Amino acid sequence: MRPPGRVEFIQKVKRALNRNDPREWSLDDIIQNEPDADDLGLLENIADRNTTSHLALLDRLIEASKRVNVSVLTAKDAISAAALISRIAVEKNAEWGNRKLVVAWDHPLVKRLVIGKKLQPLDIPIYFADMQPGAADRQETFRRHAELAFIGITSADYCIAETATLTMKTRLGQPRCVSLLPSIHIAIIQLAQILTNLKELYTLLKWNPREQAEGITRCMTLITGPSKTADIEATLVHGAHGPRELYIIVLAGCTHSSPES
Amino acid sequence: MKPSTYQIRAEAAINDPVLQRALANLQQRLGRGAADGYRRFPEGPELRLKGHAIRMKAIENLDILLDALADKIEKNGGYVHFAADGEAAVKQCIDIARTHHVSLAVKGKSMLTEEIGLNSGLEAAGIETVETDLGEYIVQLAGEAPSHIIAPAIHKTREAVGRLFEDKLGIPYTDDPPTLTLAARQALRTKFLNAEMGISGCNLACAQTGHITTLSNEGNIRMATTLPRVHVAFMGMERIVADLKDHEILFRLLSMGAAAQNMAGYVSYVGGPAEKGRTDGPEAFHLIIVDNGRSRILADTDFREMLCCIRCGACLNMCPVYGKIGGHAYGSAYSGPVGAVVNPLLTGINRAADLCLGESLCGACMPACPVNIDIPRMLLMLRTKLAEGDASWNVKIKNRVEQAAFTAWSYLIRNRFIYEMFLNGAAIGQQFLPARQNMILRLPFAGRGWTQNRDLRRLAPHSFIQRYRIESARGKKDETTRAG
Repeated sequence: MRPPGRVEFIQKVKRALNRNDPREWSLDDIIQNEPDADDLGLLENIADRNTTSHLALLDRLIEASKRVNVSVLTAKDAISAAALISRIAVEKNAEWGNRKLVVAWDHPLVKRLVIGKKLQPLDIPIYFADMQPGAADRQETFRRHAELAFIGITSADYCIAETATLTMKTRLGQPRCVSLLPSIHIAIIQLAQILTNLKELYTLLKWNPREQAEGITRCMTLITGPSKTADIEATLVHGAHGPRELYIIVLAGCTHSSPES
Repeated sequence: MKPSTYQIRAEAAINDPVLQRALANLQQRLGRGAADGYRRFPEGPELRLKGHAIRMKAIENLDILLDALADKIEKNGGYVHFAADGEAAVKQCIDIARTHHVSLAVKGKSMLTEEIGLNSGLEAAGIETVETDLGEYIVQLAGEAPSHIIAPAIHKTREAVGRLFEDKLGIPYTDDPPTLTLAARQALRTKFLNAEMGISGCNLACAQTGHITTLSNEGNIRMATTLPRVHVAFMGMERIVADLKDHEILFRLLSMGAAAQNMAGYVSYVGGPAEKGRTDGPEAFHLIIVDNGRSRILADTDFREMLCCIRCGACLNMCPVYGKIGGHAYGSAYSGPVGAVVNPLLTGINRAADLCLGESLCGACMPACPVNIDIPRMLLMLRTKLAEGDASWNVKIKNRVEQAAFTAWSYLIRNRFIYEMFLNGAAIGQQFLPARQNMILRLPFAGRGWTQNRDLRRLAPHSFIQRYRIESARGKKDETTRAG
């Protein structure tokens, strides 16, 4: 049922705008409905990128990540990525429970790491989100695990080099809480997922047919750095509510010479 | 005359050395930071003008944009409510809370909910309402009001926060910000996990995709909009733009204006409740779009521009008046230059007259604004209304004595003879005023305020014209003497 008041409200706005126009305008009349030459050029640029240009973007990402306290790690393959994660898991302490626990997206990039094998000998269980719309109790159980977890592993749709921003839509098997509730958030991406800037992201979201078809879903999140606050005497503190550390692991497909690798 | 609340609070702030240091530090850091940031945009500082054009276009198409947004959200299973005033908005929220049997609500920072007094409304309805932005949480625990749009607890020292947490959270006293933040993190986590309802504001909705967006650095808004069963978002009716292209530009401007960042820590687009069978996300999503005086601003083309404001607080960080008197003097969630225009327009120009009269008209707020709003122009227009009265805004002339004095003055200076008489009279009269080293220490009557914090130079024995006459007469005499 539509809550009342909408018609009157919009009428009041129309009166305030002094709209005497008999024509009923719609949103399509006032927004750009076709990509212009700039947009098409940008889409082409993104599509044409090769490994060299992606590696150049990776360098920019690493540079930007330092300014927002993100650790970008490069791994040449899934095995070394899994090794990086298990190293973090050994070094860091549990925050919300008395034991270490990891939650992760059910996502091909995350699954490919077979991280469970690395964590099992450390006695650290890993729980994957349900790919199927599960029964309420199964979802509830996963959420309890996410509340207690010290590491949450996700992938991302894109990573923006200029600002070190991860972008993620909401999909089955990719719950929002994995990047939110655990103390440490680790995102695994492929080299080709790096974009230059926000403009590229928004051009893709707006004009790329695949993105258009999916829409931006019920919730799309952009994440730039770990949770932070400066509300007490302007002192920067990480881990106000969300994760206090953020790692981006880039599967580079080759050995990339960066200080972090 | 009794000093106004504005004057009392301003004076208290000026005499508080701790606050003065905090304000100076904030302005130095954020004000300077944003100014530098604007220059670093690839498009240059002119991006602000583009932002202004985008906002203005959105405001002028507000009816179309709001209709489109509501259609999309309803299609996605959300509810959109329209509230003519604050009272209606609070009632809608209470009704939603009752329907969903809510006893605990967690809140993200939202200036609009401060404007409409949501917290006290919910508390009166028996719903515990917890602010979760660290600054807002501190201010709520202390029973105070936020004093800056972005840094609500700027007026509190770490020692004060330490004592507050010792008292309210029962932790051992500490003045270490990381330890205090951790204590709040732990206390609020329980609230997040147990709340049935999450409340957020809306930074900027997107009409084309049908989403509201929220920005934060702490992640508290993500928590409040992801974990509870119900999400209620409050949105001032002007906080919308047409499409994603506009968003890209405005997010960069907003992040820079608000916190001198290239990008806010978390940006969330929310377009409805979560689909069935998902692990998280609310089962119900309600958007409350609030007018509360905004349509009146929209109808007046002189002030329509003010609706471009995205409440980033950048103007506070440059304003020399805010930098001295702090946020509490403004007596509203909106302080600084934005408050000096928005409060009179929303709550009555006479009622909030002190705010627009207190600003210095120095113009620093305009280049500080990420969307280049001409606040000085609107301050002047408000002052004109106060000086001359305006029936359309129900403005009564602020000070009839002042108006009469200026009418008399304007008559006086246009009549040479009377003006000279006045000068001669004043030259005699000033002999009776207390003075030191040719400076008058106190003026009588209405002039008293002027000499409260400064002295006034005495009138010269002769005016310029009188002196000119004397000098030229003497010159002529000299010439005659020499010639003779």
